[in-house]
Amino acid sequence: MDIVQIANNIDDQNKSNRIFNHMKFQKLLEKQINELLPEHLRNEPAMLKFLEAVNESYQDIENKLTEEEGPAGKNDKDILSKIIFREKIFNSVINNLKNGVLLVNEAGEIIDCNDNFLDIFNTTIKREDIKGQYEKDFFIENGSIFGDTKSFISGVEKILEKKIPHFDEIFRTEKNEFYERDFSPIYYKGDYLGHLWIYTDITKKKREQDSIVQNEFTQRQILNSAIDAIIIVNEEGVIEFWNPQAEKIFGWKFNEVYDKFLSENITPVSIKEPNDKGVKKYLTKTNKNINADLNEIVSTNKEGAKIYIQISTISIKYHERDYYCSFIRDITIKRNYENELTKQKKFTEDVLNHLPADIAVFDRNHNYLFVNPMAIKSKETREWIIGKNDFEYCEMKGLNNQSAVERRGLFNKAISTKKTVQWIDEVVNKNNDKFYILRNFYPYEEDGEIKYIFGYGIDITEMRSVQLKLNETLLDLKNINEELEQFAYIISHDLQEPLRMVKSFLQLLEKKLGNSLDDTDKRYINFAVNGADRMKKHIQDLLEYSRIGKKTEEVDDVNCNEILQEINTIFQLKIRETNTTLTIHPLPVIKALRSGMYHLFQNLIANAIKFQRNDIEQHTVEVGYTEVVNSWQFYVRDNGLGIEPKYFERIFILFQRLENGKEGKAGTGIGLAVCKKIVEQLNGKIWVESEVGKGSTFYFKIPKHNG
Amino acid sequence: MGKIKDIEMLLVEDNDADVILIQESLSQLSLHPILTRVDNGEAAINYVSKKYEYADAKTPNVILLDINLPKQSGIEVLKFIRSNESLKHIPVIMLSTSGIKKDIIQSYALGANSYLIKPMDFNEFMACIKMFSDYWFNTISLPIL
Repeated sequence: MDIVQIANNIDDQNKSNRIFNHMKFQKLLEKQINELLPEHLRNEPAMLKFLEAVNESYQDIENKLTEEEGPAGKNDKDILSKIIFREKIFNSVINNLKNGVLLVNEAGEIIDCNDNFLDIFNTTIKREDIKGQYEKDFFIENGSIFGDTKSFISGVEKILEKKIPHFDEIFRTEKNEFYERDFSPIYYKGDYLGHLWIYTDITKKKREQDSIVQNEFTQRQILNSAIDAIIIVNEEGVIEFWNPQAEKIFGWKFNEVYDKFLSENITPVSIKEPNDKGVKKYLTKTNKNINADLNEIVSTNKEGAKIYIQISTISIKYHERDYYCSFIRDITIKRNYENELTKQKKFTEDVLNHLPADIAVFDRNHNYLFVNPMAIKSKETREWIIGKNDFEYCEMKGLNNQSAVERRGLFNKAISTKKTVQWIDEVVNKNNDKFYILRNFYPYEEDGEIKYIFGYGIDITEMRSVQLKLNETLLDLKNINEELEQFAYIISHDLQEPLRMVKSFLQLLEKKLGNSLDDTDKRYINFAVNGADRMKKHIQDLLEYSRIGKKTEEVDDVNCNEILQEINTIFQLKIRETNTTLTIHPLPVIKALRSGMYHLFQNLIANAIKFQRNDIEQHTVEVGYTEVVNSWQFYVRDNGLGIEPKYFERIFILFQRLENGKEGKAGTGIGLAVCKKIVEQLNGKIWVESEVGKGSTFYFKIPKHNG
Repeated sequence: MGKIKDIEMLLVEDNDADVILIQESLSQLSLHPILTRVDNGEAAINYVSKKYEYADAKTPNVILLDINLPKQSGIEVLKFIRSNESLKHIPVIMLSTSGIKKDIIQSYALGANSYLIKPMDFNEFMACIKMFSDYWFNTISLPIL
């Protein structure tokens, strides 16, 4: 049923009503179309015309109906013809629409459609035949052109159920054509009266759009996968594009910087103001020359840290607008390295410049690369000589090149042997003072290849003279030592010989004279004999003292317990005679000279037994040790006579004695000197703590690590 | 075991005093070996080699040899004796004032039979001579040919 038919079938009674209703339906449709029609359809020329016409005609009819309210139905024919006329226009308009249109009433019956619609659905049904069919039946029969009929139908059912506008749904036909479908329900005073389906062919548009998307996508992929950071800003300096490398360098994500001023994000605060001014000035220029050269500038990242970037910018025109595309590389690490290298170079040069030694660096060809002020005082000469050699130096100074020839020889030796070459230069200065410089050519290798030769020179004049003196002294010492040895031999042999004669012949004389000697004579002989004895003891002690330190024995593990055991045996008789208790605590095994330790303990114990008090019965001597930091500290303690503090140091000096010959207690004044010498030879220390009348404690400390 | 009075003893000693001390000691001990004295190393070597004025000398049964001698030292005399096939069997007793280790070791190494340090005390000296005589003249057998 088309609108004309509707009009023709109006029965007489209800004619005007029906016409009115129908008219209202059309007006309603027009109104709704106007409101709900998607914009792209509204601008469709055919649709515009259609709307205009429909609008006009209904205005007209409405007016007429209002005028002829009174004599109702009088001009029905006229009105009807007008309606028919308008409907014809309507039909033609619908038919001429590029879109496919299907009009359905509230009952789901198709009221009308255009040929385009039928074409889209690729059906042979005629327009006249489709009218009055249920739309659902039609879709079931023809929905397969969009692929799966079932899902198409269910989509339609859902839309019909809701009866609200539903636009821009896109379908693809099996022929790979694209259609956009719009659904417009028609309401009048809240009542649903029917609906309109509009199918628009968007195949071409879609293809274009797809290719644009594809294009854009490809471009973006290229930009995104670029090694450099790429930032595109528009004429105002607002960021339009920001690739992942830019995100990496600056820390900002694209969505964080998009549509923001470039300067807000990557310009350090310190130079933001001048930068902004510069940018502003630049943007107002008519001739915007963009520097495509590489520039290295300071920038800042999201954390606000200073970064160094290398940037080049090109301008691009796109859709009549200017854009600036910057390619950026992060050179912070490189720059930091460079800064660090510069600092290190300065440090090294500073060190080299202030070292009290001549320092020069040469390339493989013996040309100067560096020389410090110690080597060449004059700054000009120092700068002049870089890249030159010793021959050129001699020529410049007007000197004989003999020294340069010698140097070259040594240099070549360092190169060929890859080993340090060392020699001593004799230099005479203006004042005719002689100097000795110890020089080195040290080959510096990189990857097994000699890269540089370092030349060092140290003034050893003083060292040399000291060394010479030391050598002399050593020789002297050796001679003295030999003399001393000879001396010791003489003492032990030649000095004892006459003594022996004195004593022996006095005794022989005494024997021979026998009874003819009186007591006085015998006493006198005794004095002489005793004197000889004492002299002999002196000689023997001296010999012992001189023997300490002769390297005839090696430092070894010495068990002090064993030594004390032996000494204890030797002193048994004296201990018993003097009523002495000798207490020996467990002692350690130490690194020392066995004979030295033996003499040491023997002398100290002998002294302790010798210098006892007569006013007490029980004499004690105690030997023990304590462990102190890195040392063994021994003690020999007695309850004997004791020593006045003023003698604490003196007793250890050779020939210093505290006792005279009375009571036979006098020693030779050598014993403690021997002890001191033994202890000091082991890098130790000996001292005494004592109180007169109470006793003495002799301490000696010997380092645990000796020899 | 021979009788002491048959024993030929060579005393090599430069010091007259020591010679007297030894003689006195022997006499005090009533010991009378046939004692010949030479006062330097060279003379000692000539004596045992029966050279020059010593052509008629008898080969000694025992030699008392001082270390510290003029011309040739006692050590050199010892070396000569020990290297001479007809003399090397003769016991040699070294005499010295000092107990220098080097001398002692060297003497024994070169084949000395004893090393005596002359005592300081005459009584001790005598005791020493007695002990020496008891040992060399009475206890052991000397190589008397």
